[in-house]
Amino acid sequence: MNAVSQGPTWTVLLVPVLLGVLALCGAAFARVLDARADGRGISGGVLAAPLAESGRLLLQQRRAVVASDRLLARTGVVLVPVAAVLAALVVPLGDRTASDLSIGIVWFNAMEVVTWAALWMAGWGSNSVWGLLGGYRFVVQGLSYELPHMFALITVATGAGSLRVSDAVAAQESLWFVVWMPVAFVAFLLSALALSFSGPFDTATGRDIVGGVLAEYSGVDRLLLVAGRWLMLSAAAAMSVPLFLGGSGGPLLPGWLWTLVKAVAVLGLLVWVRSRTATLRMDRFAEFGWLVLIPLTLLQALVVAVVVVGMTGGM
Amino acid sequence: MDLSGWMRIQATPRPLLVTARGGGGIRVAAERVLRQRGWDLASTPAEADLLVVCGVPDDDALAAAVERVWSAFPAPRARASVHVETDVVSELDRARVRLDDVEWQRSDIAARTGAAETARAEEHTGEHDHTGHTTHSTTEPACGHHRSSDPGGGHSMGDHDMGGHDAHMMHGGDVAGLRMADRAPDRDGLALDQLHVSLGPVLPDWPAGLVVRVALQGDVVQSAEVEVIGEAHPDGSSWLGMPAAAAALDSMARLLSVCGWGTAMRSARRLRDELLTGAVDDAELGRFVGRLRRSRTLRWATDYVGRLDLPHSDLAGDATQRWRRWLDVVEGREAGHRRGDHAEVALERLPGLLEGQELAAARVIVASLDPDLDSVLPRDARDRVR
Repeated sequence: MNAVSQGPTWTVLLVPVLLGVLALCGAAFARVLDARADGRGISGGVLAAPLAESGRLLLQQRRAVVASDRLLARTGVVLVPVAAVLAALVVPLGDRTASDLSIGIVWFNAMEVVTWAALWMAGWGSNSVWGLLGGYRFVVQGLSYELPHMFALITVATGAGSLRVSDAVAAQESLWFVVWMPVAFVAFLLSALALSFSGPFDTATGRDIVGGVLAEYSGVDRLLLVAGRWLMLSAAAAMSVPLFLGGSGGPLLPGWLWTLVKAVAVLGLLVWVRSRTATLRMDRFAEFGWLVLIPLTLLQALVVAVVVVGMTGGM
Repeated sequence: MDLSGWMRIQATPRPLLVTARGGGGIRVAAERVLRQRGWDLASTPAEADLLVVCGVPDDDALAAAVERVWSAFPAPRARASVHVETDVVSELDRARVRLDDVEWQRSDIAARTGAAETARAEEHTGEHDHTGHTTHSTTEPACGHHRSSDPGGGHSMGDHDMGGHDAHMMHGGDVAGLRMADRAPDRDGLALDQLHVSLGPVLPDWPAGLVVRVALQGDVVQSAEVEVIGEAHPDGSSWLGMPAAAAALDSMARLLSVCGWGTAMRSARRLRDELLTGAVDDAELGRFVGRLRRSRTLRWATDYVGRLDLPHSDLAGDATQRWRRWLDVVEGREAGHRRGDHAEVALERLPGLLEGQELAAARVIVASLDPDLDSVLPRDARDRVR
């Protein structure tokens, strides 16, 4: 496995394209699961449904509620997909990365926190009871998943001895982090669903509050929010590859293909979990987050820290 | 054909279903056709392009709510009114054609823009002339005005503003012609913003004909008033002839949707339709029921919610016990679904159960009681308190 290095500048342009393709794959898989539950056959139409729906939303009229805060709402709506693409900048494909920041792991975390603000702005700005409730719910959810998520990232950084994503990949040459940091991996996957407000963590856009943050958005605004959600989920799935799954490491296939295969597998797993669970009630998840996940991820960080100190001390 | 026309035809429509009392059987038929065609149900007018009214909105309040929801639809849009089950397919086809009819859509937009301009002209002669108002209307004709005369009802519940606009209070307590949020003491005695919101009659996965007016602080229901609108149809629909197992699956599908488990909701509706046509695979039904019983996330959503102490009633226990009883009915281990004066008791207990609950729990409570209001015959004092 070659060390990950900074790619040429034009690779930045490749990031939204690849992330978009990954997001479309995820959305198409979700449609396949839906179609199977509906008892419909899996046809080309089912696979192309995310694209067709995007086309429909592009043609649909935009609307807004009287006295909504347009600046706030539009800023929030645009920020959701933008944050997802920015988060994916630090994910290496094979042995090339669009942006090998020295603080790549923190960058990913920061972009994902932008989603908090963006979703809250979109919910508040739409001047609707449902949007407001959705925004509230997402903030509450953030309080429950964000700390375990950060501890999972810190565990990786501790194991790698660096906040640079390429260093994390290099540190997994002999042993993938998922093997000796399983708790951090699970916490990361849970927060991947939570930070993209999908699956069992979709309280912010729940059908019980007629779509929550999404309730008043139509047309291109809605497309940006829904696409942003899929882009964010894909970015998190892709990020789990360099953080836990040894980056581009693997036999036979070229590195970039291994990265894609692993990212698609993780995304598929997340989408499948989404189809097997009811929405988690936030009070229950807050309890679980604070009483179970935080202590476990802290313990995981402690174990990793002790191992790292032991190894460097022994050398 | 131009590109936009081609794109429109590729996409499947997004129907928003509205059910009048007595339209339960029609709704089931419509859901079956929509499921088979892969037309996913919308939960809000913003998302939808097809309004499907199941049954006859023979009540002023419901008819007005349907018109409000219709006016909140973005273009392009079409509507279908289904009065009898056999018309479902033809009505949906007709609406689909209209949705793709560029000429009709153009004239629809023109008509709405004209109506909005008239309304604006009237408003400007009145007292509600705020400066920010005209900019709304000019930037987005035909969709900025649909709520200005409507303080909550159906879907149009986004019209209150929460605090932070004190400057506007000078104009007499409203923003852009809308009432501001009230203040009221919360459960800890703090004065907090209070919103008055009407749940129903147009709300996804909600009993037909039910309206619950709630006062919300944050997402906590402070008080709830229950009302039933529309004429009862005790024998007008095929709903009553439905086997108990299918009716129980229908209730279950609605609860699953409220609990955010879309995939299981789809399976429940499919199995319900297969039960109705007699084509159900018992092994698959058993697996489905088993999966629901084992689901931890579903129990998390319903445990300890809406507890009722009513011995020997279909409604006894918490939401989990109620849906588990539905599954017994599905499996044939229990005889009837929604027996006796089920709906009357549910309506009576509803306000007490809802007060002090979060909105999410309130939705679960209503879905877990799932009163069949078609069967509530004599209008009692609760109906039409206005």
